[in-house]
Amino acid sequence: MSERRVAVLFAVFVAGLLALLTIQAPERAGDFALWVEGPIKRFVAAAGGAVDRYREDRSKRAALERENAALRQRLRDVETAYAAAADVRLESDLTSAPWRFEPSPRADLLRTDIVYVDHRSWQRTAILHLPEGRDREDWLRRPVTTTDGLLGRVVEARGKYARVLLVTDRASSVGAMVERTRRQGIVRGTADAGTLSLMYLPLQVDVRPGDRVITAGIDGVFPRGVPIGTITSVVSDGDLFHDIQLVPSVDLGSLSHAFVWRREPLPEVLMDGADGIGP
Amino acid sequence: MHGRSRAARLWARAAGVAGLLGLLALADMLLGGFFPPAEAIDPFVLAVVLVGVRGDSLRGLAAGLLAGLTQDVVTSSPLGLHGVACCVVGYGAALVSRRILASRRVVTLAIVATGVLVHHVVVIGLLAVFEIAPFQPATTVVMLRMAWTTAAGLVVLWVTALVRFLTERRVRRRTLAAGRAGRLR
Repeated sequence: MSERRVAVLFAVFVAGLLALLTIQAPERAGDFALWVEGPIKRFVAAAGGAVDRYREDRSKRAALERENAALRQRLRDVETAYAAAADVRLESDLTSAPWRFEPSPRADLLRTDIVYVDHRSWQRTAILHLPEGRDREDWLRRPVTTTDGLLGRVVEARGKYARVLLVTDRASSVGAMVERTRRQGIVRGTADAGTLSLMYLPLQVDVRPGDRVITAGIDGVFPRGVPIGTITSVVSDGDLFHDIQLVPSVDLGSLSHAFVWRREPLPEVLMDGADGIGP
Repeated sequence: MHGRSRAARLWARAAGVAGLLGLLALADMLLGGFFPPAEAIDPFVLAVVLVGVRGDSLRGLAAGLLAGLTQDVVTSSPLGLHGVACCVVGYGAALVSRRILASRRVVTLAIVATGVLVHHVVVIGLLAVFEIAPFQPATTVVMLRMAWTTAAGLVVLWVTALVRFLTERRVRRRTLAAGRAGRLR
């Protein structure tokens, strides 16, 4: 008989004799069985628990993915609705801006509708509809502003309508100053309808693009502090003065309402010697 | 001898084994009565080791099984207690004797002493695991048992060597006598 078979026989004999002993000591057999069975049962329970957890995680994950997809779709819907609402609100803000405009306490304004804007003739003008049928002399040379800034001045009035010379017209002149440095100059219209020119600022004056330009209140027509525009370029090419270009603060492409100042302008007799300002 | 059938030979061998086991049981029960120190001799372990050393691993295993079960019956121990121990001793003695030169008497006696120690360890271990009965003999008792069993083993080896010598001498004398008488011509 080979050695391997004898070894197997030895293991069988020993196992048989141990079983015989176990039969004769049943309490200990139970303890031994528990000692062997315990770890096996614990392993099986752990494996089963792991499998259950895996299945539960998979089903949870599927549910979470569905919920994510639904939430993403809902987010897209909300964003679309928000964008639409934002558009409506923007339009509402633009439309109601004149109604919400709160002028300076010292200003006495008359709200008017702009009924016509002339971009074709050599003069850049707009026509207002006046709600009060006052004498035309009462309206001449009155400043006209919008919620964004200076629009121009009244140059003609007939009945319920008044013509306004826009600030961008080449014949327009406005006493102005740089808000930051308070240095004064004259703002005139240029050939380009979208730009203004600030003149008579010496080269030594500190001025830079981005500076705001407001009315100086020294021309006898426009009150102080009304925004005119923002400086876009400053060229200092060796002359006495800067060559300064502005962009108007009023968007002439979206005019709907205007405010006519009721303040009386400075009488012309007191303005003898003033240049560049006329009806 | 040549006319005997195989079955008869097997029966004879079984009878011889049974007789030997009976002698061992008798020795275990009676030795202490005639010679008190002989109480410490373990004839079963001695027999198992000698069979395992002289034979192969199968004989050692079989001898251990039969001797161990007999010892369980004789000592009124739970069946299988000494059986496991003697199986381990017999199988182990056969394996060890194949790897070292067990023909020398000293080596054989060393295996006997080790067998007694292993037998004790296995029995004590099984009694503790199965909580059958508290049994923790003192170290001196175990050492004494080892010594007395080894001494008994020495006696057995000497006696068997003497018997072999006497038998061979008788056979040699007969052969010589037959030769002188011319019977082989």
